[in-house]
Amino acid sequence: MNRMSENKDYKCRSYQCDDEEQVRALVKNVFGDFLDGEFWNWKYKFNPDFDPDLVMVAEKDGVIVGCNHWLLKDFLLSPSLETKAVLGADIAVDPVCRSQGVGKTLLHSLRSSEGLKVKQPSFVFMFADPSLAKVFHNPKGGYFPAPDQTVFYLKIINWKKLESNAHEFNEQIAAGKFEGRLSGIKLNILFKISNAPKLLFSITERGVAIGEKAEGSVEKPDVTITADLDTLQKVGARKRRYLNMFKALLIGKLRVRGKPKSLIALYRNVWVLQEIFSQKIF
Amino acid sequence: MTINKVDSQNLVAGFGAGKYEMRIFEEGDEAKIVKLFAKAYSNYGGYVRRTPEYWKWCCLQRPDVERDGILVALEKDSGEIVGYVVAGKSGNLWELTCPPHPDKKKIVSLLLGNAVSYLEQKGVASVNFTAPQADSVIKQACKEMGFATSAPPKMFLSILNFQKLISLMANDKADELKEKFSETLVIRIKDAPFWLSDTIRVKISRNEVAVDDNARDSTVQVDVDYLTFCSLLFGNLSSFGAFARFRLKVRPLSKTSTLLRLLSVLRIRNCWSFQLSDFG
Repeated sequence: MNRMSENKDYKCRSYQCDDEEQVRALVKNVFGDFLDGEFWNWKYKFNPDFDPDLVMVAEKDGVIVGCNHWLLKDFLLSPSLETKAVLGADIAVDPVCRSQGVGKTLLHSLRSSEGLKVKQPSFVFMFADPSLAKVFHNPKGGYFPAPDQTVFYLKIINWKKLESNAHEFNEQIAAGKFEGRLSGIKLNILFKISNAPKLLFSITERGVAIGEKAEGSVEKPDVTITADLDTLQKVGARKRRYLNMFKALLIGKLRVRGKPKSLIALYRNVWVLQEIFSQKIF
Repeated sequence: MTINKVDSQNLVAGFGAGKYEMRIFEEGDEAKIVKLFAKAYSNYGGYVRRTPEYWKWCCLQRPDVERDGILVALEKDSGEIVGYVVAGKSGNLWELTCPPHPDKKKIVSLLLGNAVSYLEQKGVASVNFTAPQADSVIKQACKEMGFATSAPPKMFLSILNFQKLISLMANDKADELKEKFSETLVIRIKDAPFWLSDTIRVKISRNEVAVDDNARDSTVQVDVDYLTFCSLLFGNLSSFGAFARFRLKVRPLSKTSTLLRLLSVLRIRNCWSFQLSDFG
């Protein structure tokens, strides 16, 4: 067997009870309120599978700068085949200490820890964004895609999150961030997104107004955009946005209708849509 | 069938439609729910086994789940639970379970309709859940109720103990292996990560199937890389596909056919599917 690499700036060790405060602070710093308070207690402290031997912390000058939680589970590989496996839960590294190999060392330390030798799980499973897994989990932790055939179903009930994005955008306008970029604009865009409420998007000099409108109650929109949710997400994503938009237009998954003058206005102000749609929209 | 709006304060027997009714979870339902889950997922792998204790923790005690967000569908006549849904205020349906049933579509629609209404009342912006791709009934019910499909969160695996894993898989198929093969297979993993042994020996005889990390006495030797081998074991890649892509080197070459058959017996063949509750 090879030897794991060691970094002299910090050391990895198993979690101890008096680490709780520091680990909580670190996790809160990295994940925000998501894992704070009640949720942290539920996920770790009161979890029947919580095992301090399967939590590794990275310490630098006595301060915890990284942690990785594993939870031991009874996992079914097939209906007749059960094994012990660990859920690789949250891996958190202090933003100040990133790109120094802390995450990688944590992954490796857990794999060679005494706790693991005793528990003897067959494998570790975890859920991750495929693009992050490709650059971090796969090369550092030997992760590969599970033979998973799960579908994710989604139903939009309202556009509240989009309204909140628009509100933030309008605050930036009010603070003068996009000075002059919206001068003289007045454009009504109707989004017809399959399996979602209709959405009216009004761009004016003062910013963006968003409303859910039923068919017939909308003043005639200048531009109508028809798409499905998947296309909308791809076009809104920061990566390959223009390529995705071009592809979707080409294959008819994204349709844009309006008078030439309105379409030119939309083209000039498409950055407004991108500002709003590139954040979480549902 | 019409789907009634959930009044989470006053869910009563008789609520729902036709032969089925809905009610809020009650203490003591856990055991039935766990049985129902096992029945619904009896053809799948890739999830954490549910026990009443585990289910309590991962659904009932989840911070965004209130008791009135756990709805069960019952058959009116027998009072038997035929499905349930766990709706969290975050908009996640952590579990939506309905095993095969002649009225499965009705039951799924009833569960979904009530869960969506409940979450609408709670002011959530979107509702989402996961289900097996092969479940055409859920797919049809979702289509009719305006659900779209989206890219699911992706599950990844990393092997911690090859011997243990292969031993389990081989023992699960021991009868078939013992009947069809009499070989000592030595697998060398070229780029095995440091925490794994790079040699695995699978000894199959009439009497036993044994797995260890000894390299001696092989009748078939295979050189393979870590990712290819994992993909073969978990069914992401067929053994023939790996061989055709020159990702498997077999010695002696005359044993290629035996090896390909052996690997295809060994590998996991069931579909994997997980519920959102497996996240935590």
